[in-house]
Amino acid sequence: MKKYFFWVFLTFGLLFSTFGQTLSPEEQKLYDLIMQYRREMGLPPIPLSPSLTFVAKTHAKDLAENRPDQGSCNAHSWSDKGNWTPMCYSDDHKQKEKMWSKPSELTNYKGKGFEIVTMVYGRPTPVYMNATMAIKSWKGSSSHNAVIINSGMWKSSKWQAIGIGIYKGYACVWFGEEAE
Amino acid sequence: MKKYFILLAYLVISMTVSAQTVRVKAVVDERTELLSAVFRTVGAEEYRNNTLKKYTSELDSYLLEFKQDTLIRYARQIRKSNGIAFDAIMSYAVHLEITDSIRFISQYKPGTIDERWNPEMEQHFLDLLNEFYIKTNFHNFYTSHANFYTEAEYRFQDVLKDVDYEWFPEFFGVKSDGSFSVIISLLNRGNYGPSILNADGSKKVYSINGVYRTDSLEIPIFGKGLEPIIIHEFTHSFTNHLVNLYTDQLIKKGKKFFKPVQSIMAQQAYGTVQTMLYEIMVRSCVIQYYKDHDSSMVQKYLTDELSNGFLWIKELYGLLNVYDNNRAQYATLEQFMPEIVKLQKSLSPRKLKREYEKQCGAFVGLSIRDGSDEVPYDTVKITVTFAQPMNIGTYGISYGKKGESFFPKFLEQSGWDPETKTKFTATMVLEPGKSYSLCFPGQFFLTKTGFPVEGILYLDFNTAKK
Repeated sequence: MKKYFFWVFLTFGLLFSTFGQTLSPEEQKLYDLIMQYRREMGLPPIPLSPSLTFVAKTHAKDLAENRPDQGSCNAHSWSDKGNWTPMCYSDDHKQKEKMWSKPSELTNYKGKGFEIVTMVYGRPTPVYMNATMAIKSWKGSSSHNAVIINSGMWKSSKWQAIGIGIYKGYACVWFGEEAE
Repeated sequence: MKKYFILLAYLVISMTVSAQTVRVKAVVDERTELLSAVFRTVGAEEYRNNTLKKYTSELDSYLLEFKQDTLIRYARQIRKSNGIAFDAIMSYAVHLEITDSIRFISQYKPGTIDERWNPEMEQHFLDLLNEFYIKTNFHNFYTSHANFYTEAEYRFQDVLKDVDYEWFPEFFGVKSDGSFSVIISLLNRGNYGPSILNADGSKKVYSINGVYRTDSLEIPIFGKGLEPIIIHEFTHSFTNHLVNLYTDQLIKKGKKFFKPVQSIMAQQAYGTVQTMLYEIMVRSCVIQYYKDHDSSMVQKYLTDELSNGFLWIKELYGLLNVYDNNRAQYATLEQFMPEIVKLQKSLSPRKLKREYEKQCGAFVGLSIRDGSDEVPYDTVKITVTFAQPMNIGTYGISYGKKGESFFPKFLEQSGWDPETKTKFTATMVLEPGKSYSLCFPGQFFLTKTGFPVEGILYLDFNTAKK
């Protein structure tokens, strides 16, 4: 395993700068799986961003603890129970600019942030989302898959930063075009 | 006379206690911190664990001016040319001692540091490491964090109190110098199990453990869940070399076992047949440990490992029972290895995969068709039927192919039919004229025997207009 990991990291790892970020083992696994998937698609790695990771972790926790994803508000929504501007993200994407600005609102990251989310609901509570399921979920959804592998409307996006957060049943990944 | 009896009784009791109790203390070790710090400075991802933000930022600042040191450049070079990374680094570290200078420990059998190192590289690295250690005054950094280390060590002790260290030399039939060492590694992201083979053939084994959780003061927290990891890492020291001895005989069938589970292995970051062989040996022995210490866990571990893609784990575990019951014939596991090779050669990966799939649950029905239109709205029940009775305490529903905007609102009434245990009904509130998209991921549904359901059942549908 270690040798295999070595070559993966040799290809990508030395390019990364990860000062200051903290990933749990499951978040790290999700990051590795996303990078492995991009590599299989012939795409470059995305450096882990401490700021976007902070946003991803904060949002995953807000979703799990405060459930702002109720009614017409989907999982890109933020509750009113934190040091951020609450936001009900509806299916018409009218709030997309508020999503884009969440990293700059919460951190020093000045670029726009783009989020993909997945969750699991069930028993016994809390059900825990895991890296394997999260990536399967996004691969199975063409619109989310496109974000990860820069296809469709995301083809011209050059991801230079990524943040990962998993908390209880939720997994959030944030992408950005500006390097950190 | 009475006094003698008391004294004798005391001696017997103390001898019994000392024979049964190997006391192991977890420590933060200067050697592993130093090597981790070197490779962290190199940029090695596996040594860039930033869980302890204050500690790591202090270290990074401390070594900032040495980022282009000769040692760092050399470490970067051998990482690239010889794969000096992950466990190869920790294997080197435990073969060192730090006194007035850093040197290799005297008693180890030459050539037993991880095979990615060669003698010339080992020596040159050591020379540069000594210079680096003095230039940076790393010892000063290390000692200045002594209180922090002590707190981490104290917290780790609870994890170790129930580990039976005597079991290892007994089960594997090897000489042990009695020294099991647990090292807390504050900078690395993995767990490793290196060992030192002494010149007299005895072993000193290590379990090196990363840190993943802290309290609000950034002091590491270690949960009881670490115990199986420590046992796993110790076991590597007793089994990896056995796999190496028989690799030429295990590899051919190993490839056939690897192929059908390659993607599952990749998800666990096991990319080679050799690694899979190391892992199945370790895991079957760890289950043997639990057979002797907490037999209630055996079935669960076997099921988990089968689900992790180790297709012949049950057969190997069964064969190890034969070994365990015939120790008069087989003094060591090494002597028994030909039987393991024979077993592996006799097995059909395809057949075992089929048998595994049969044990896994299967979705066999859904009360509405995927892609349905005109589904009634308001409170709606959708029933999923399974091929066999299930564990009715678990289920999971996730976003479907269309994502978060199309996920319905579920009601608490969702649950299992307690009689058949084969039907799960999800109760949801649907609006008229709307599209919905969800899925039932197999991994969140378990059979009564604990096997997951294969695959993911997707469901997209539209509700009728008002």
